[in-house]
Amino acid sequence: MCWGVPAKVLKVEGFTALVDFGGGVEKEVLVATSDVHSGDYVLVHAGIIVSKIRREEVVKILDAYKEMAVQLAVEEGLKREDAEKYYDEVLRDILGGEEV
Amino acid sequence: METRRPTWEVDAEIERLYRRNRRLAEEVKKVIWKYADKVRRVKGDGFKVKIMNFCGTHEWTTVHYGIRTLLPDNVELVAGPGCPVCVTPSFIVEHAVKLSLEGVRVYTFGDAFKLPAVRPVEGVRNLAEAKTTGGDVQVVYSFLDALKDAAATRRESVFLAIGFETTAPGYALPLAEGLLPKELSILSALRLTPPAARYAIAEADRRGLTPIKGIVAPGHVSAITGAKPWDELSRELKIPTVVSGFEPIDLLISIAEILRMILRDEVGVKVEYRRVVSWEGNRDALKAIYRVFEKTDATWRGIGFIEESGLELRSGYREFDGFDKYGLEKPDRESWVMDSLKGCRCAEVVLGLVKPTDCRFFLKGCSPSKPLGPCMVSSEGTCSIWARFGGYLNLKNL
Repeated sequence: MCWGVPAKVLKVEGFTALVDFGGGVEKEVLVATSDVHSGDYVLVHAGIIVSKIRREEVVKILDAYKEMAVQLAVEEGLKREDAEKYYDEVLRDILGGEEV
Repeated sequence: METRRPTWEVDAEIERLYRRNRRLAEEVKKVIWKYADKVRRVKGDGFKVKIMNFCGTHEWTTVHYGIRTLLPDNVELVAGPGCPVCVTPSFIVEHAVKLSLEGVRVYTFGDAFKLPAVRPVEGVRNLAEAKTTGGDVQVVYSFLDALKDAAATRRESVFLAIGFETTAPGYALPLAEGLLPKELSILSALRLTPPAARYAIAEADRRGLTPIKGIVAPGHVSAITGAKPWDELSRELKIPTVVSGFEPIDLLISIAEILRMILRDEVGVKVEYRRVVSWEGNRDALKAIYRVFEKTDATWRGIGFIEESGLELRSGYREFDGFDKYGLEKPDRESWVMDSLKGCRCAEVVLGLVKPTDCRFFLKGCSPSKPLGPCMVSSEGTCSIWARFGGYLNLKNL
């Protein structure tokens, strides 16, 4: 029920917006958050824009993973500097990496 | 529900990083196993890490991607109250069926179309049957679609307003802005997640089950409420909590974070789903919700009353309250009667006290094509998810 689908905002008109879900599916939805503009990526749930998707945060959470991995490596006896270098490389691989 | 293919650049980026990235999944799995091993060494063999989720979409991700198969023996994921359709009381469905048979148009989301009433109305058990016997029932994608139809037809109509915090602004905004035609009212079945989480965790303790040691908080509910209510709950119950996104690697990172917090004896909330969830939440939506609705003690199907766990219209909006408009009764604590079918264990499944496989009807008379209980009706009900994707494999029964 709380399923959310990403969409791109095409037009905002008062309380409603026209969004594009892709694949030729466009839909008029309610806007439940201010500061939504055309071109924004948003999350739509049951015909409501509940949030903007903060693109800058998409990659950032990987820092949390890196911190956990580095901390564990340090506890296992690796130098922090070496652990950070290793996991920076892992993340570089991941960010440019293969799909399955 | 099917796995979507990405359409937009940002969507594709999320899919590449969080859904289809084998390397990252393997790396995070390693972190989880190392933390789980440390937990075993530090806390002892008897310390079982039982983590509860509170969103049907999290359970869907868990089962669909086989997350349980990736976890060590001392870590188990349990589905808690996360499906609003599953907890919608029977009496509201009965009222909706009755109104539809009397010629009032009833709008509903597709998820609740087959939601059964425990006490049939004129032999009719759900809105789908009501429609086939001449009742006026319309399945809609959103409240906005119902609003447009009601404004165009000017027919007497009600909306079966199910949902958690995520869905509530969809009703609240049009009501707050005076967009409803006078012919349209709502039957609020809106329920709030944190009170149910508190109830489910306490119930596990009361029954002497393995206590819940971690909470995966619902990402889209939290898009509205913010992370703050989960922080308060975490500190009150002393249970580490992570607000998680819905991709498989989101969940794995959240599980790793919970294990890290357990090792550090840390409580409070961390937000893994930062691309959508903030600390304060969606202030515009919250303002509209609490302008129109107020909290009330509410009934949950097969469970009974949970304090301050529902939303009902404030007195200024009563003309749009279907219960008032059509003189429909709402049970109080004295008049409420248990609303689950004899032998159906849906309520216990909802609370995470038993698994769908503990119910004698599971796939033996109760299936997604012929559901008996509400957990088999909704696409986000635990029974339906397990029945469709095989969630009964790799259980640890902690």
